[in-house]
Amino acid sequence: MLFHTVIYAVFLPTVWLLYLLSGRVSLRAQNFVLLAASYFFYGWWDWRFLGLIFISSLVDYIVGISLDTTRAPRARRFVLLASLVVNLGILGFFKYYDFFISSLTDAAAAAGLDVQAPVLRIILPVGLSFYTFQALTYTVGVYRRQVKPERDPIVFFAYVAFFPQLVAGPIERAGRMLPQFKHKHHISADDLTRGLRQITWGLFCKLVVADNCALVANRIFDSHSALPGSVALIGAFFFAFQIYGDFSGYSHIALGSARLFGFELMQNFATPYFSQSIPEFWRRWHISLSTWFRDFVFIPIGGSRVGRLRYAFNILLTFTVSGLWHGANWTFAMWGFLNGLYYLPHIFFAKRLESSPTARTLASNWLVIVARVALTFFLTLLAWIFFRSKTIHAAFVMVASIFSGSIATNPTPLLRQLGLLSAIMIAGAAIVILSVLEFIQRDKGFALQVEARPLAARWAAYACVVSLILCLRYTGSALDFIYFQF
Amino acid sequence: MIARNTWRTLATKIAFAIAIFIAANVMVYETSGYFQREQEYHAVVDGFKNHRHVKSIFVGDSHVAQLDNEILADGAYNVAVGGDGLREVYAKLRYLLSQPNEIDTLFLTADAHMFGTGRLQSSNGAFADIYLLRTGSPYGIGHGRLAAAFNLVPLFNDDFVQYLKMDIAKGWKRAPRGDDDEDTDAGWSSRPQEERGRIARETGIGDHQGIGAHPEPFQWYARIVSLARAHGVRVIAVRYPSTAEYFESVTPEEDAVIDRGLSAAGVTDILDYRRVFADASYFKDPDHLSAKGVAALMQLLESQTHRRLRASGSDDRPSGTPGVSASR
Repeated sequence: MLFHTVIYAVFLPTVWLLYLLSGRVSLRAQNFVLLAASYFFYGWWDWRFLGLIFISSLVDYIVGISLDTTRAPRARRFVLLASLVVNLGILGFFKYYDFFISSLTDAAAAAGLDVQAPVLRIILPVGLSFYTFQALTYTVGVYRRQVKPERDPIVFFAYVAFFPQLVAGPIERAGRMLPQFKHKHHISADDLTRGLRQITWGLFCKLVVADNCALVANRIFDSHSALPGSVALIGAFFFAFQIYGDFSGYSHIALGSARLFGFELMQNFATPYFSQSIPEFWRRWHISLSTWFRDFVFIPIGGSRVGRLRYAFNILLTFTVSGLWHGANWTFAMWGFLNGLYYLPHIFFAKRLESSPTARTLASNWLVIVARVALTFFLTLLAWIFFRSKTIHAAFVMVASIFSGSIATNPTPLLRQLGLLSAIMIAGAAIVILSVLEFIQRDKGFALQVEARPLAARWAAYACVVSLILCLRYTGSALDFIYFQF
Repeated sequence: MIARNTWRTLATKIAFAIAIFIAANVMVYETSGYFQREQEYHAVVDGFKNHRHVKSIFVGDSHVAQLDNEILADGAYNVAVGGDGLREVYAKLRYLLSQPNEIDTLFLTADAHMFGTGRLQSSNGAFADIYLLRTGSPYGIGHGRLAAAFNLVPLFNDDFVQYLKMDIAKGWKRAPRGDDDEDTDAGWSSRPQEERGRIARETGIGDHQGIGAHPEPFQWYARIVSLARAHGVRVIAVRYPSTAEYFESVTPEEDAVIDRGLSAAGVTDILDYRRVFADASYFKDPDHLSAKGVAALMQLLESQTHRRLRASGSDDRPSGTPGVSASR
C-alpha cells in the first residue's frame, strides 16, 4: 500500500477512527488496532511477507526477555548473537544471497574457474532492511541495559510493525519508541492539524517534486545512447531532487501519519541540500539511518577517537557498508565509498583550516556560503550518479561525460528528442518552489510548519501547496517510493 | 503566537476548505477546455444511438477520426477520437456492444504508433473510465474502481492535470514554428518539400517510440478482437496513410513485432494503406489526410470491403486520385 494512493487515503482515516474508538476501551485495545492495521498494511503488498516480520518480531521478543533473565555475561552474549544471526541472516539471505553468489561466480570466472552456484532470484520483502535495523536497536539496547525488555507482546509486535514507518523508516530507537506505546494517546485537534500539514507537505514533495523529476531522470538514465555532458548533468540534477523529494516526502507522510495517532517520530531530513560540507550533509540526510550506522557500526569499530588513519578507515568502512545496505549492487557500495572519500579531507585538513581566523571570517561571507553549498551539492550529485546507474561502468561513463568538453553542448535538441522539455519546465518549477519554501522555513521540521505565521500567510501557504498538488502532480502510473526497495 | 485549534474551530476550517474545494471543482468543470473536450468525447460515442442500423464501426485515434461521421453512410459510424489508445478503443467497443446494435464489422486501427510508448497513457483515459465502469469491465480500471471514481472529481482527474500541465508548459515556452498553427489542406502542400520531410520525420520519431517495448497494447488488441468475435463482429485491421517520411522511424523489426502481435490476436484481415498516397496534396500534416485524401481513402475502403461506407453525394472520385491499391 503506497502512501500516495487512494487506498491509503481510505485506510488511514478508517484506522484513525478505529484507534479513537478503541481508546475508549483501553490502551491495549489501541495498540491492538495499531498492530492489526500494521499487519494489514504490510500484507497488502504480499501476505507471505507477514511470516518474516512475525518471525523476526517473535525472536526479538523472546531474546529481549531472555537477556533480562540471563545473568551470565557469556550467556547474554550468546543470546544476543542468536538475535543477530536470525535478523541479519534473514536480511542477508533475502537481500544479498543472489548478489554475493553472482559476484562470486563472476570473480571465479575472471580467475578462469568454472564455479556453478544457484542464483535463486529471491524477491526482497519491502522494508525488510528497515524493520530489521529497528528490531536490532531493541535487542542491542536490552543487551546494553539501555532499554527495558518489553513483556507485552502486542506492544512489542506493534513497535516492530508500526505502519507509518514500517517500510522505509525513520528507523526508530526502541528507547524512544516503546514508551510511546505505553500510554494512552488522547488525540488533540492540534495533533490532527499538524499531522495533516506534514502529510500534505510530504505529498507535495513526492507527487510534485519527486515524480515529476523522475520523469526526466528516468528517461535520461535509461537512455541507451551516449549522452553529452550537459544532458548527463541535467539527468543527475533531476535525480538528486527526485530522490530527495521521494524520500523526504515519504518521511513527512510517515511522520504526519504517526502524529495523527499521537506518536512522535524522529525528523529524518533537515534541508540537506543547504549543507555547506559533506559531514553536515550526512547530519541532515536520512538522519535515522546515519545515526544508526554511527551508533551500531562506526563507534563499535573505533569511531573517531583513534589515530587519523584508523579514523579514515572507519569512515570509509562505515560509508561503504551503508552503501551496501541500500542495495545489493556494487553501484551502491561505490556510492557509499565515494561519500566516505568526500569525508576524508575533513579528517585530515578541515579542523586546522576551520580554526584559522581567516576561515572564520570567510565562513560568515554569503558568497562563500553559497559556494560551499554549491560544491557540496555538486559532490553529492556526482555520487548520486553511482546510486542511480545500473552498473559502475555506466556511472563512470556518465561522470566522464560531465567532465568532458561535451558539457558545453546545447542540451535542448536532445531533450526535445527525448520529449522532455515540458517535463523539465514543470519539474524545474517544482524544485524552485521546494527550495524557496524550505529555505524560508529552514529552521522548522518541514516547510508547511506554519502555525506561528499570521492567519493570512498560513492559509496562503495551504492554498498554494494544495493547488500545486492538484495541478502539477505527476499523473502517470503510481511510482513506488525509491527507498521501499531497500 | 502559535495558532491553537479546538475540535470546533478545526471542523469549521475543514468545512470551509471543503466548500472552497467544491467551488473550485465546479469552476474548473465549467471553464476548462479539458472538460469541454470530455463532453464532446461522450457526444461522439452517444451519437451512435442516433444512428439506426449501424453495421460498420470505426475505432482508433485521430488517424481514424478524420473519417468524419458527416461523410459516412448511415450504416457506418465512427467513434474514434484523437488521442485514444487501445484501452479507450476497448472501453468504447464494450459500451457500444452493450447497447442494442446491429454491428457486424469493426474497422480497427493497426497503426504502428498505437503500439508505442506514447499511447500507454492516453489523454482520454479518464473519459473512457465511465464506459469500463458502466459495463463492469474486468480490465482497464488500472488503479481500481475507487481510483476511477475519484477520477470523476475534476480536480482529482489525472488527465485534466496532464492537460493543464501541457497548457502551462506551452504558455511558458515559445512554441516551435508551425506547432501552434493548425495545418490547412493547402498549408501543408505549399510548404517546401524539405521542410515537410523534416517535420514528418520529427513527428514520426516522437510517435513511434517504444514500439513493441510494452506488452499492454498487444494485450488490449487481443481483448478487442476477442470481444468483437464474441459478439459475432468481423474485425478488419486498418493501417492508415501518412507521409513516407513519417514512417521512416518504424524499423522493419518493429513492423514484424506488430505483425506478430496482430497474428497472435487472431487478426487476418489487414488493410495496409500506409504508403498509398505520395502526393503532398493528400495530407494536411505529416500523418493526417486532407479532404482529398479522406475521399480517396474512403473510396479505397469501399472498393476493398465491398461495403457502402460513404454517405450519398460524397462518393465522387476526387480529381487526381491515383489508381492505388492497398496490400492485404
